[in-house]
Amino acid sequence: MTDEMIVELYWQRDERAIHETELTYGGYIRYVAYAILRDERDADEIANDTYLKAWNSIPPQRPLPLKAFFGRIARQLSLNRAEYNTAEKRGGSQYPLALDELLECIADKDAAPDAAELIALRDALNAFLRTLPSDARRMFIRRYWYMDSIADIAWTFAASESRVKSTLARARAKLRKTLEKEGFDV
Amino acid sequence: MKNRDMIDALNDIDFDLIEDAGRVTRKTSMRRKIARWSSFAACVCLALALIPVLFKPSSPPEEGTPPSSPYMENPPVQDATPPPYMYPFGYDTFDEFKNAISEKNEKTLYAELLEQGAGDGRTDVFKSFVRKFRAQHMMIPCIDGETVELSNREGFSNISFFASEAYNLPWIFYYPYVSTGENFYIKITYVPDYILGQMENPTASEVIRALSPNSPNVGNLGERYEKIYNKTIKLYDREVTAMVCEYKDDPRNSTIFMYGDLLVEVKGKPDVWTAQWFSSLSFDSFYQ
Repeated sequence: MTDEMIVELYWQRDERAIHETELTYGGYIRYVAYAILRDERDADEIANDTYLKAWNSIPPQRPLPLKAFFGRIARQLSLNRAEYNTAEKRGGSQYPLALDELLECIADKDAAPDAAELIALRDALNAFLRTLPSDARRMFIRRYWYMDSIADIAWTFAASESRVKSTLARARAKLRKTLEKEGFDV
Repeated sequence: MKNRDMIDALNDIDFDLIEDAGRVTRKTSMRRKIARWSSFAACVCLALALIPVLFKPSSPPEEGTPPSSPYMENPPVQDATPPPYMYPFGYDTFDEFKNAISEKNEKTLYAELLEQGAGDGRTDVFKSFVRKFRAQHMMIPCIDGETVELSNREGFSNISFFASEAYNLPWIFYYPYVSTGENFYIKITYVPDYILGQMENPTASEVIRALSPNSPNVGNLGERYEKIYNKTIKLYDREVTAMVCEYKDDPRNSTIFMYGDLLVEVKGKPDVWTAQWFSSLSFDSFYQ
């Protein structure tokens, strides 16, 4: 079933939309959630919450491609859950580690950013990522979007853990400089 | 701005970047490449050394006759090379299968595979397969929405789990109950993400072409097939474009189709497993 057909089912408030989403994107959603939470039951719950959130946001949205849409929802929900689990000292998530690593890229202040600032940050990240060599970019996204562990990234790229760590450290240093140049508080 | 805002902003980066990073499958290190090429070179040397021994002509060719070259008539098809055989894991019930692939017991499977000589690469592919299969709660065939009844033939497993079979992928064979005793099966595998990422709603024929460009397909019959063609088939909950393979020496057909991210093959006699039967077939999780 195409993305358009699944979206149409959501618009018709047809419950098969959920079934089709599960069949087509269930594996991907759980992959994203599991990478962050490292717990199958949590990943299952995130998958269900993702379907519910999609059900509540389509309509009015017509998000395409759906994979991106579901991936982002699942990641956001998983991050929230990971934050909660970290506070409760539960789970073996990579989330607190990845968060610590990114500390060096931006000042951790209490002031909440406004929407314009977040959009500017997203644009700066997109531009920065496109300047990185392909392997460094992929490692960066695997670490900070998918929240893969250093060991997993090393395995995937057939590299040593120390090479992955140094590639990520160089990328973070470059990001810090980019953000500084763009006027962000680093 | 807080550190978490950075993580949140990353959520909205361009999707092509996320896709690209998500598609990376394990790379081969230079050391492995060298080892692989060394083995390949050794095989080539051995083959070259054996040619004069194995293909020594019984009588000298007539003068002026060009030397025959059996290799050039049937060049080896790289993708058709079967992977080293590994015994499948066998289970009689879905519960037994579920237990074997559970987080608690999966290590036993991997250890057995390594013992069989699967090597790290194949075992890693198998591991990812098991975890994806488990994350989807074991996809199994259903008839009219109900779990299919398994065969229960004495001496045969009802479920066979191959670590590496067609297209070098892990496959699960389900043997449903068949009153005629025919060797009928339904087998499933997951299409790797790096293939699915390149295509939108691909047909089985397109996926197989991407997995193994030289394997028999629509427009490329190979030696064993009478006909290969695409056909629309109605299943219990959807219509699919199936690739139907008719064999020269087997009365059964293979009907291969995509179901979500599963590649499914149903092998059986077309007069028994009719369109009506296919219209009752679907796949669902074994446990919710």
